[in-house]
Amino acid sequence: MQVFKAFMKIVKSNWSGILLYFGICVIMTVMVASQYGEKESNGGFVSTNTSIIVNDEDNSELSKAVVKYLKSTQKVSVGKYSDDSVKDIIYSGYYTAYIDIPKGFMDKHLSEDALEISTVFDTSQAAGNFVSLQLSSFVDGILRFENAGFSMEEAISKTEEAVDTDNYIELEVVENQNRASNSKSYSLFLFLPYAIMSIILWCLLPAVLRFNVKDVKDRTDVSPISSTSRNIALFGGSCFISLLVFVGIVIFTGVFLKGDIFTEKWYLSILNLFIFTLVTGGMLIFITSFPTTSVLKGKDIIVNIVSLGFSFLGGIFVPLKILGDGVKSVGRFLPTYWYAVSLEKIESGVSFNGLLGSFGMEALFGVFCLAAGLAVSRVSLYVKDR
Amino acid sequence: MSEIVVEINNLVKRYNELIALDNFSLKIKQGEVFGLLGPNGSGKTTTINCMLSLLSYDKGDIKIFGEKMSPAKRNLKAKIGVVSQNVAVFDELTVYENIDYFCGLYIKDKKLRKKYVEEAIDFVDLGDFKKFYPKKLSGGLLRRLNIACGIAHKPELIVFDEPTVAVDPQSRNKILEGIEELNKNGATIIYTSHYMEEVEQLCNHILIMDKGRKVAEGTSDELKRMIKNTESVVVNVRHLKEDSIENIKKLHHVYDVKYMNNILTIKCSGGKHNITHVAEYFKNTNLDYDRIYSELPTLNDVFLEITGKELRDKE
Repeated sequence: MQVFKAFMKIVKSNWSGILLYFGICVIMTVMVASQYGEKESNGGFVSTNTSIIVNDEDNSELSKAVVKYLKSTQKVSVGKYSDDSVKDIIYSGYYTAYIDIPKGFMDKHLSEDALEISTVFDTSQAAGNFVSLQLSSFVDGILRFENAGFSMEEAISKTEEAVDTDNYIELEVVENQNRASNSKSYSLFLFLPYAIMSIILWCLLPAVLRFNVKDVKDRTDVSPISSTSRNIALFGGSCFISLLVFVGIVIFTGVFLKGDIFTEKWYLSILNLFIFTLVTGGMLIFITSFPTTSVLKGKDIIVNIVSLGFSFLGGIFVPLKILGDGVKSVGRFLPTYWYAVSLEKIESGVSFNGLLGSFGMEALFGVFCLAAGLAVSRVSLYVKDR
Repeated sequence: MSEIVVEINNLVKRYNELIALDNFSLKIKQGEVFGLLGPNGSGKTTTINCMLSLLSYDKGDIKIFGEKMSPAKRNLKAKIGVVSQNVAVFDELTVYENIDYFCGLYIKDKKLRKKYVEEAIDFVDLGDFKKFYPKKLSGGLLRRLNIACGIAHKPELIVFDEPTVAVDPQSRNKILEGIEELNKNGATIIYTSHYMEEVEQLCNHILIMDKGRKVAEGTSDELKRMIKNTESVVVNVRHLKEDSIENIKKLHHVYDVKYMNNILTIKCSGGKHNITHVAEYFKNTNLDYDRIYSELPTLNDVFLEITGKELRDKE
C-alpha cells in the first residue's frame, strides 16, 4: 500500500502537465474529427465540375475521345504521376481523380479484350465516384454503338450526342444521419490511440521509472517489502491510472458524439480502444524494463517517438488507404496499424467474429512487449550480478 | 561476550574474470562502529551489497543476527537501515513524505510511524524543511534527508556507505555527530569510507581492505602499532645538502629520510623525543629551519606501509 500511495502521489505531482496534455489531445482530436466530419457531410453537393488529372498513354482515336469527353465535363489537367504521388495528390484534395489510359487501350477495345482505364479516387468522396461512373458510362456507350454495327468514329459521335453534357445528373445525396454519425465516430476513434499513448506514457513512465532508479530500488529491496509486492503495487497503480484515462476518453467520446453511443459499432470501437489501452500498458512495461537512468533522461523523447511514430506509421494520422506500401509494410508490425484496420472493419459493418483476427494482431504486440520487457529485466538482473 | 551482529565467512564474488571479493571474512559485534576502509574499487560496496542480498555471491556465507541472510529474510531486513552513497529519494515527494514512505516500508502502524518520522526529522534537523521538495535542498541538507530515510524506522544495524562524499565540512561534522549519537542509542554501525580521518574519528573497530581482501584489522591504535613508523618529524628547511641528509639518517631511531620541495620528512621507529634529537642536530650544525613539528602515524601510513600505495588519491 505504501508503494501504491507513493506512486499515486508521484503521478499526482504531474497533474498540471497531465491535464495540459489531455487538453492538447482533446483539442487535436476535436479538430481532426471535425475536419473529417465536414468532408463527409458534403451531402448536399451537386457535382457539376471537378478537377481531375488525365494521363493518356494510348493517344488513339478512342482515348482522345475519352479525354475530350472528360474535358467537356470536368476541369482536366494532363500529366503522368507515380502511384505514391497519385495517392498524395488525391489525399491532398486538390484533385478528385487520376485517370490513366494505358497504352494499347484502343487495340484491346477493338479486339474486345478489355483493357480497363485505371481510375484512382477517394472512395469516400462522392465526386470521385461520380467521375468514375461518367467515364464508365461513356466507354460503355461507345461499345454498345459498336456492337450495334457502327464504326468507331460513328460510335464516338453518337455516344457524345447521347451524353447530353448540358443535362447533368443532379446528384442530390439525401443526408443519412446514421452514416454521418458513424463517420464522425470513425474519425474520432481513429485519432484516440495517439491520445491514449501520449497520456498514459506521459503519466506513468516517469512515475514507474522513479521507483526503478537503482538507489531507490535498492533501498526498497533491503526493506521487508518483497519485490513482488512492490511490482504488484506499481502494476496496480499503472492499471488504475490507465483505466482512469480510458474511462475519461470513453466519456469524452460520448460527449463528442452527442449521445450517439451504445450502438454495436460504438461498443466494438470501445473494445478496440480498450485492447489498445492494454497494449500501451505492455509498451510501458517494455520501456521501463531498461536501465533506468538512461530511460529517465530521455523519457520525453521516448514518449514523443512512440506516440507520434506509431501514429504516423500505423495509419492514425494518415488513413491506411493513403499510406504508401513501404510505410504499410512497416506499419503491419505496429498495434496502431491493426487498431486502424479493426476500426475500418467496424466502420464497414463487420461483426465481432470478423474482428477477432485484427484484434488478435493488436493484442499480440502487447504480449510481445510484455514478454520482451520481462526478458530485458532478467538480462539486466543477470548483468548487474556479473 | 558481545553478540555477533554480522558474520561474513570466506566470501567470494566474481565479476567475470575480476575477483571483487577474495575469501573475505569479517565479524561485527553489537554496539560497534565498524569502519570498512579501503581505496576506491577495493570491494567495500560489493561487501555491503552482498551482505544486504542486493548482489549474489559465488562462495561463502553471511549471517546477520545469527541467521543466514537471504533476499527473503524479511525479519532480518526489518532490523537493518541503509544510507547509500547516492541520495536515494523521490524528487516528487516532500521531505516529510519521503521519510514517511521509506519508514512505511518497515512500520505499518500509522501513529508509531508518524512519531518515528517526526523524530527522524528532528534528528537530522530538517524541521524547517518538512514541506520542501528535494530539489530545493542544498547538498548537505539532501544528505541529511538521505540519512533520515535510512534510519527513521530505528534499525538495530545501520549501514552507512560513504555518506559524506561531496559534502561540505560543516554538514560532514553534523553527519558524523549524528552517527555517534545513533551508536550511543544502541545501533550497531557499519561505516564504509575512503576518508581515513572520518574512520579514525568515528570507528572503534577498523578493517582495511584492498583488492577484495582484508589487509589489516583492529582498533586505530592496534593498526598503527602494526607498522614500523611511530613518528614522523617534519622540518621546513631550505637548501639542505646531501651530506646533511646522510647524517640525519644516522640519527637514533631514524629509518627513512625524504627531502622534497624544501620539506624534510624523517620517519622514526620507536623511541621518544625524536623531535628533540632532530632539533639538536640542526642547532649543532648551524642549519636554519623555518618550522619543525612531529606527526603521529595515520591510517594512511598503515595502508601505505602494508600495501605500498596511498589509501586515496591525492586531492
